[in-house]
Amino acid sequence: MRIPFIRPKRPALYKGMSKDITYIPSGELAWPNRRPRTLEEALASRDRIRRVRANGARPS
Amino acid sequence: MAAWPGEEIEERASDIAAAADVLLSRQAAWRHRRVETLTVLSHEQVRRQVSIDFTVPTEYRALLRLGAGEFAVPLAVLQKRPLVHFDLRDEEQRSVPLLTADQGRTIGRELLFQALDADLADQDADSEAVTLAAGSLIEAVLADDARRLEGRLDELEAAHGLEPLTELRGTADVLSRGFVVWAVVTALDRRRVLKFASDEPFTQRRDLAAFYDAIGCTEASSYHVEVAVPPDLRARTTTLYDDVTGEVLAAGARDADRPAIYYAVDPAQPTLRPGLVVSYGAERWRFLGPAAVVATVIALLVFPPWLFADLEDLAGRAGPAIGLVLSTSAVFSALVLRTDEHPMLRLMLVRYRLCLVACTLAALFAGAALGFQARPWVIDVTWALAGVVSVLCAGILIIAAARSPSVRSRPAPKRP
Repeated sequence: MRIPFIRPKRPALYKGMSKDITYIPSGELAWPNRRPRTLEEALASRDRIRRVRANGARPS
Repeated sequence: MAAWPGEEIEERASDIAAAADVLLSRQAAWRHRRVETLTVLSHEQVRRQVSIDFTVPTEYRALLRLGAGEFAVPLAVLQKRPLVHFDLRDEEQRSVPLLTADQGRTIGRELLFQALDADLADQDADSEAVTLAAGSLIEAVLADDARRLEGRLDELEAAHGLEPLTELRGTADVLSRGFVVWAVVTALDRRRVLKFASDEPFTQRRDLAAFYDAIGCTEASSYHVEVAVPPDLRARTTTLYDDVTGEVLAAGARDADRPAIYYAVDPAQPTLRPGLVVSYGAERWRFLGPAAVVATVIALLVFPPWLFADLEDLAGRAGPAIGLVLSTSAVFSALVLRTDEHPMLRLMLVRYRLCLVACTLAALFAGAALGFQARPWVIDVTWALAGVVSVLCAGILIIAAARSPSVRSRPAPKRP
């Protein structure tokens, strides 16, 4: 039972405390933690995708 | 014939996505600083202003070009939900346009194919067949149809005998729930600062502490956050920490009215769920101090007379009782009937206000019992109740006032 004016004794910070206190979202999402790529790899990837599309028509 | 704006994006999307794929994966490498200001508007709304200071590396600029001297820059990833009071401005406070949802989806499609290609790079699979087969799944992600996304990815992996498509899964998960904010800027040949802001609704709980999501703290090489605390409130403690590991990343000054925190990203130690925990308190002399004084005076006026005075004799003389009633009512009104307070402070003080109300009503009834010359047992019971209530309420208010922050801030606690 919760007694008015008496707050439960808890450590100031602990794991998962966002579930227990007022949570204010940022509205943002974190970009997935992916394996870092170089620009050359990304450009090669772009060219491969273009080639596949040209050969196999646009995926739909 | 010049292309229409939508057609330009179709042509440029794969180049923009190739550059963005690298830039979004290494955000701290090209964003120098991210500054966030959190302004508590009410007990239900916070305004979050974000300023991003960045330089797009030279080799990426041409890829991000939209045409006619305009460039698309990925500023952030926001959740798919209505934005309230959203605003995007540049260094000179001019409004900055955004790509439309359709234009964003066109680039998003390319980002998803990029992620799939990255997955397939290390696998011995028919990448052409898988890329074509993934088309409908990717279109479903872009059409906000995230139903059975995991199941469809499992089916794609099983059908082609693939290892887990982790890159595609991660990107599809984010793009099914959110969208990339693409700012359209006119100059990328220098360091730029863009600022966006929006209001975030939340549900206030009973606690005086709040957890502000701080996902952006790892998305720039340095991160500054400050909280504009409402008037008459203080931030008792302000801590940037990881909710998953419980690790404290940085701490701000104690009892501050505008606590600020600086944090530099450590690439070797990725944070999983960073958040800013702010514990609020009402300033001592705003309400709690005066209320404790008033409650103590009332308790002293009621409790000792109940113990030591001849109340029946006092009942014959109404003067002191009426004086007591009038004076306590006046003080009570001055302290309680305030309308110019911040809603969060009002919510925070509601229990203590009720204490003062109880204390004042106790004195009022005690005075009334004397003033109306009630029967002796009624006077005794009323004064006994009033004495106990006023002492109890005075005690609660004194303790609350003693524990509340003063107007002086203290330095941040030292980290172990």
